[in-house]
Amino acid sequence: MEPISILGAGPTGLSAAYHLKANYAVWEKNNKIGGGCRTEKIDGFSFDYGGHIFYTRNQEVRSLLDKLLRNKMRCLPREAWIYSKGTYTRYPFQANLYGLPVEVVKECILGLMNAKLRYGEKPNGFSNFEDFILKVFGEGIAKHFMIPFNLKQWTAPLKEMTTDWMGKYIPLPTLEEVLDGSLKRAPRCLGINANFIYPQKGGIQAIFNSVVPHIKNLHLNSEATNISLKNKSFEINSGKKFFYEKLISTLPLTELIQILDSPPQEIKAASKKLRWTSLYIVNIGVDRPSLSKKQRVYYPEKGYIFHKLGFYQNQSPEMVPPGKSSVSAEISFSRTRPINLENLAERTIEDLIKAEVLFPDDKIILTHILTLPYAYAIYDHQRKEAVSFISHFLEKNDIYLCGRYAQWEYQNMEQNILAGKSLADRLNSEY
Amino acid sequence: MSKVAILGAGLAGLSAAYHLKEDYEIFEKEKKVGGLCRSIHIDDFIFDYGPHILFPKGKYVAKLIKKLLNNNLHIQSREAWIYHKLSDVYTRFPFQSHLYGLPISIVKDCILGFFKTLKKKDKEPQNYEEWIIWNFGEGIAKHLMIPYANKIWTISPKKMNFEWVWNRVPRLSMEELLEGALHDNPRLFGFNTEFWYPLNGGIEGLPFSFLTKVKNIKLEKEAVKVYLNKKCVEFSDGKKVFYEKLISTLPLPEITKCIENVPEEVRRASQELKHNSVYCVNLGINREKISPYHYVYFYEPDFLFHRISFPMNLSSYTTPKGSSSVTTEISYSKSKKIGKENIIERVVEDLIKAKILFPDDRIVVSDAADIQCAYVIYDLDHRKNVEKIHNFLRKHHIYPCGRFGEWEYFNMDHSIASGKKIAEEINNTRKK
Repeated sequence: MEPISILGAGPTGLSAAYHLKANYAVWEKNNKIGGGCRTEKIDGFSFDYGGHIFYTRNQEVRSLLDKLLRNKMRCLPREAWIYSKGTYTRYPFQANLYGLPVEVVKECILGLMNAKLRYGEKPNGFSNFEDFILKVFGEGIAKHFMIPFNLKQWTAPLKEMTTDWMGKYIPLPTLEEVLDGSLKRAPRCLGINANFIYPQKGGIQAIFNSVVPHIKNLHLNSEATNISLKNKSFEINSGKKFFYEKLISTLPLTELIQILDSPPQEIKAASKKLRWTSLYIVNIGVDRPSLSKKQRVYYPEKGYIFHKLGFYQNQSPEMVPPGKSSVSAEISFSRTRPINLENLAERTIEDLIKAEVLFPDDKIILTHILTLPYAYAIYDHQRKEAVSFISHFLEKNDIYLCGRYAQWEYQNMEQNILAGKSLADRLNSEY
Repeated sequence: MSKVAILGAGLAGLSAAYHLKEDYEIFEKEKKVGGLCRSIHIDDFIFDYGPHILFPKGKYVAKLIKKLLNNNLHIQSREAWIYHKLSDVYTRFPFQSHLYGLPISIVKDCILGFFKTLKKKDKEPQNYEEWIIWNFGEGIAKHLMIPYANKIWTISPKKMNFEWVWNRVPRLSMEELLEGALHDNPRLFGFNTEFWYPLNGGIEGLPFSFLTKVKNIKLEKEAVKVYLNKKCVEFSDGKKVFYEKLISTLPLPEITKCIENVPEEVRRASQELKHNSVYCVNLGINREKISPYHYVYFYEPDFLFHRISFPMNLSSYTTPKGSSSVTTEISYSKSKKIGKENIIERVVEDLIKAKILFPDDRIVVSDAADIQCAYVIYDLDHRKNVEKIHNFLRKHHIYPCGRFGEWEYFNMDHSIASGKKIAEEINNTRKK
């Protein structure tokens, strides 16, 4: 019997396995690996589970990718845009105001200046996410992008969120760069993450498929259904039972708690406090080449049901059949903001026409909805304490939380790989 | 003997006469009235001594000018622009509210510099240069205001005060600055956005309009001596006139020079007064509409002139059909000497450089007028020196009046108001 069991064969689980020196087994409930980074192929179209593009500045991750995927990746300039006030501007919003109505640009600059005059160049001590936005970006940028967009993506009032997850994700604006972006149109994406890598073929899943030959004891179609802390064992859907010395869980934390055999009441209570956002991805295949030259477009305005569109064919032409295009619309929902699945595709198409992405007479050859029950952990004020409480308890029982959904964090692919590696390194020292 | 003698028949002297209830006589050294508001007629062209446009602010003076000019009054929206040779663009005047069109790096400099002025400042400005930076920031100061100030004032703005600024250099909010930086904002900004000008006859139409209402004007009478004790003015023709009160619109240094036995400190104060001079080069060109503007500023040292104006656009009656006219102003002084030789040729060369004239344009008339006393310069001792001289003159019943008598940066309406103020002062003393 392997001493270490890993639940979940997404980026994190695979990375942990790849880096472990002791013997291990990986248990994956789906019929393929990839987790949140799977790619679905339907009628010649490929769709990722949400817009995934890979950036890394970490040397270890970089060389790992080079080793696994030599010549199978393409490096592309990022084409991330925002559609608001009837016009496209580049992402990030604050650094690319040129082209918006002068009144809006003015409000954004004045707001930033006022924020800087009031709170200084490096404000700190934010009471919540909204407070952060107002102090760092000022009222104009807050009003015209940050608040409406984040409300749409997170579904939770921004006052209920903390700022723990940011910093690495949202670049702090300087007045100079905001002015630069207000006075002229940038010819390309600037700053960090200006380029990204993406598999030439097979969608985002191809990255993680490349690890599989290096992984031992990989069990697909094997969903963990019950974990006994007392016996240090778990059952899978086939009814078989396995023992572990150490268990690495990459499952969504709330789901893990549900399959624990009679956990303490406080643990259940802590788990109940966790909030998250789910995602519908409405994938649409169109009988027309080149719907868009962009890779993704953010929609902060309420008038559009989606907050983000992805055009995967601009990440790799292999994502669509020749002469066709696809668009993937992301629509956030949660307990606090449910979305009716009924007519969702029709409503999305309607808004795509309104946004002039589709023409009313476009021939739609495919509609397909993916549901991501867990998309983003919501960083509300209770999250940190609840997660650390649960995690502490589990580690005492030799269960280790790892990855975006287990650690209930806003991790990207690079961070998943690093989280898997760092846990593996830690456990390696014990064997 | 008239009770009041007025020296100078420019706007201030004429206005003083117009408002006086006493007997008066006006003595003017030139052959016609108007002073600096005279016009120059060459063939069918009419030029002024630099662009004289009216933008009266005071209600009374505005009404008076309207009454005087009557149906000869023409009201227009100002088209004032700035030429930037470095980037070969025109932007609207004033600079600070119309940055759009300039190279991005300059616009950014100006905005970032202005932003810094919004932060807490520890030291109040002590001179005009500091005032510029205090109000507009280092970008605007560096890119336009300081070079322009150097050019027109001929001395460093560090050596000037800023009490004359009033709203001649319009201050603005960050919002207004951005408004003008983000797009071509045609909204006129500043205090002379709309101006008045006589339809016929050039600016001297205004002083001439006093002629039916003012009497006792003696032309070609240049005062050379003033005897304080005898209360007597002697003229270059040797004739003398006695007065009870003397209104002098002559430049302060000139009136002081006429007086014998001036106390040493008054004499010194008068020598310390600073002013600039302006060569006014006027050209008539045999091509229509060489420019759509009223005036254009040139702050770069590449050009001799700091401003050019187009009389043809102030009133089409100043220029024969099918031709254009341009007036250029070249500022000089003791601190910045500019030779007069070939001045017309040098101006034409610079106008070609500015793409106002083409090399093959034919200049049909040309003239270079030398305005000795053009602008009062507000150096740091201006106020102190002026007060000293004024106190002395007034003690001896001499009332300094007008742009050069009061030694202030007066526009035409201010000069008219100054004449009225002095006249009323004299009217009132008489009542008592």
